Amino acid sequence: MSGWLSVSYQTMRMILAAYPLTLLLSALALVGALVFGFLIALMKRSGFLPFRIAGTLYVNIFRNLPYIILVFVTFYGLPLFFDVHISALTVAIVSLSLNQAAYFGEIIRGGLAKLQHTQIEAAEALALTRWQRFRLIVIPQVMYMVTPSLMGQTTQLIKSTPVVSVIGLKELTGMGRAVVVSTHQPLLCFAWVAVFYFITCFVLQIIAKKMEKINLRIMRGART
Amino acid sequence: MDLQITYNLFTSYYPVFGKGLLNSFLALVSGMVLATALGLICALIISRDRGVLNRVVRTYITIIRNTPFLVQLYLIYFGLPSFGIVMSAFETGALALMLNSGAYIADILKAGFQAVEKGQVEAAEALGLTGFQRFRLVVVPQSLPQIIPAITGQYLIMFQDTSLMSIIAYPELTRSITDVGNETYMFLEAYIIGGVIYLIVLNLMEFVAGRIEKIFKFKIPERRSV
Repeated sequence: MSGWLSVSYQTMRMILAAYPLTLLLSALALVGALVFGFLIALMKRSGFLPFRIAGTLYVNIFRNLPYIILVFVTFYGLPLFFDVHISALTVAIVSLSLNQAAYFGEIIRGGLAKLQHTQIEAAEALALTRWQRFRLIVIPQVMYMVTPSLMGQTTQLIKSTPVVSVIGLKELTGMGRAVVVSTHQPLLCFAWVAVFYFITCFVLQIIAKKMEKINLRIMRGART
Repeated sequence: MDLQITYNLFTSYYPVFGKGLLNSFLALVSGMVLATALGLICALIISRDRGVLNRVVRTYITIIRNTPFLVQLYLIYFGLPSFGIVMSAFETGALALMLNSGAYIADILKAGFQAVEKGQVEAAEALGLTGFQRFRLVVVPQSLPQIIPAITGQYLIMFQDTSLMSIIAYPELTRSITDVGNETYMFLEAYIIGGVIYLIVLNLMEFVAGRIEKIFKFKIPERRSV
């Protein structure tokens, strides 16, 4: 029994070593998805028809393309446009950002639609420039409204990261596969991998739910 | 990346893509049937049972919702043989799809059933309908408008999930794309063709789903005050 415990502990240690990479990958892809997503949302709400069409097309394509296909297209396609020696991590971050931006964009668009017009008018009355209005009024309020949904989508983002192990990245799942080769304990190994994903996503979801409740309370308070 | 080359690649290998697509559909359909059955059972347990079973199902749903599909697939594919259960790639994929989407569908169905007004069920009880009759004649028809869009959305996600079965060597579309790439060394072209096929198929499915939603979208008449 103690033998099994020590093997379990060793496996956990080895897989834990890959956890930072998953977090780094998720964090960088999250930043990319937020920026892209905001652009997509603004494009879909723009008054200029080609922008709207491009935004709609983007969302349709990247929502309907299985992520693994996107990973491979980025893996073989990116070197054509940029450096030949592009790292697997870059490919993973770019593809994940592109994929998740479609979902983030839709959520942010919902937030933009909920933003009260009087806020913009008040900002105009205060003679803020366009960029100031956007930076000081639109972004803070919209981000505040959509943060709970965005956190839910972030768990989705984290759950998409295992796919990048197919291009040889040693994040949690990739490391799991590597560890299985040496320990021959697949069940134990992938159970630990699952545990790490579970903790991350579960904590995020609890925080998201708490924030949603607080948001609701504040909104209700603001109205009365 | 050349359009002419890509087109030639498609025309010379389309039977391979077709076969892959067929296998994808096979996995999707079996997954759909199994996941819907499992989801229905779980939803019924959650809304009826108040004991241990309820807690077991809730735990199962929480675990599935917070772990990636690929890891679940690996757990089944590499883990079950330790118990002496050896399954083919197709069976593994279908089981993983069932367990994964079953949890999501259970949540969808539960929310749909709960959205039905309490008075409706009480009225059915007053009319002396049995439990199953109440469920079949009152609860299900009224919850369908809410359930159908969510569940078809889940089916679309499921079709995207079948692409991950390529990793455990089930010969579906993504796998056949990789095979074509390995044979011709035109990986980018092959994956772009595959991506276009997925986009067309998923958009068609979305269109059909929209049509089905329209059929089931009936308006519940407003309650008149006496």
